[in-house]
Amino acid sequence: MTADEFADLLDCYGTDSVAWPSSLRNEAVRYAQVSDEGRRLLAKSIAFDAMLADSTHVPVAFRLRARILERIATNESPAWWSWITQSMWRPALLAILPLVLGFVIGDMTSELDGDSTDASMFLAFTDLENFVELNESTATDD
Amino acid sequence: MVSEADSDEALMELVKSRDQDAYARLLDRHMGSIYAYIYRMCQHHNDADDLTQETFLRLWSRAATWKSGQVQLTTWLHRIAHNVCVDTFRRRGPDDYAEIDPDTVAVTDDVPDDDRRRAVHNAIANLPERQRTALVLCQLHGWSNKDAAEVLSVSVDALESLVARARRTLKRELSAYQREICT
Repeated sequence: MTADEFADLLDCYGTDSVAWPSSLRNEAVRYAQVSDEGRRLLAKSIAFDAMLADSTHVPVAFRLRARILERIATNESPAWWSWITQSMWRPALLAILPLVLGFVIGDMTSELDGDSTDASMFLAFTDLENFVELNESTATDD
Repeated sequence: MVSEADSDEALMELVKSRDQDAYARLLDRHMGSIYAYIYRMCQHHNDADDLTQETFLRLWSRAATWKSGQVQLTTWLHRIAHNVCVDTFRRRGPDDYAEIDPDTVAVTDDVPDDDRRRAVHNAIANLPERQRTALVLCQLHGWSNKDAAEVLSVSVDALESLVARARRTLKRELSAYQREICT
């Protein structure tokens, strides 16, 4: 293993040999033990990790937990609404919507156009009577 | 040791049925880690508060979309936090994030801690967003490359490349401080 390869390994996987790929681990550990450059690179990398950890101190979040829980409690919608909006029924409801609209519009149209519906029904029954009469006369002829 | 009834999976099932006590327990368990991740991504206390809150509100509102067994809750939460951060960064634009001041990383013999912290802060803040995420998760959170790759939705090879590039950039930017520590 060369110094560049070892430096790449440290950059990709860090300084903990447990995280190094098993195919490279033995060779890399040996390099870090026997090579001066390997020891220097490893020590430098450990110091770098420590510097990052030390310099990125995270402050404590103040009252954040209470704030989040308050938001949840005040914004909570009824359970039935959550069930509708978050379950697989939502796309089904959307798909049914045009059908429901069709029924509503159709129902309104039939109420407005009552005369033409009556006329259609009259013609339909008239045709049926003619059809029956025609069939009866045909049967008699036979 | 977390009992089965107190596992993330069991608590998430309760959260799906709008159980606020279960939600509070998940909040106690994961808020510290998510807050630390977001703080390291945005490096601003108030922003970290707001973005952590937004992450956990999404946990509540999108609980039904989480599928047990597909992805660990902590990975899923970090993915939400990552998306919340990225959305915010994109909405605000790059101007909100200060360029590295070359003076703050100048070579000095006696480097006060505050200067070093500021330099590290600037160097991390100026990394490209995906490199920063990879570095924060692997380097500062101690995540495995595989878990971090899941958060970023990239291959492990791509994640390793991101981490390596981020580390090389930081080593270059912070070489003066590193020399000071090593000596």
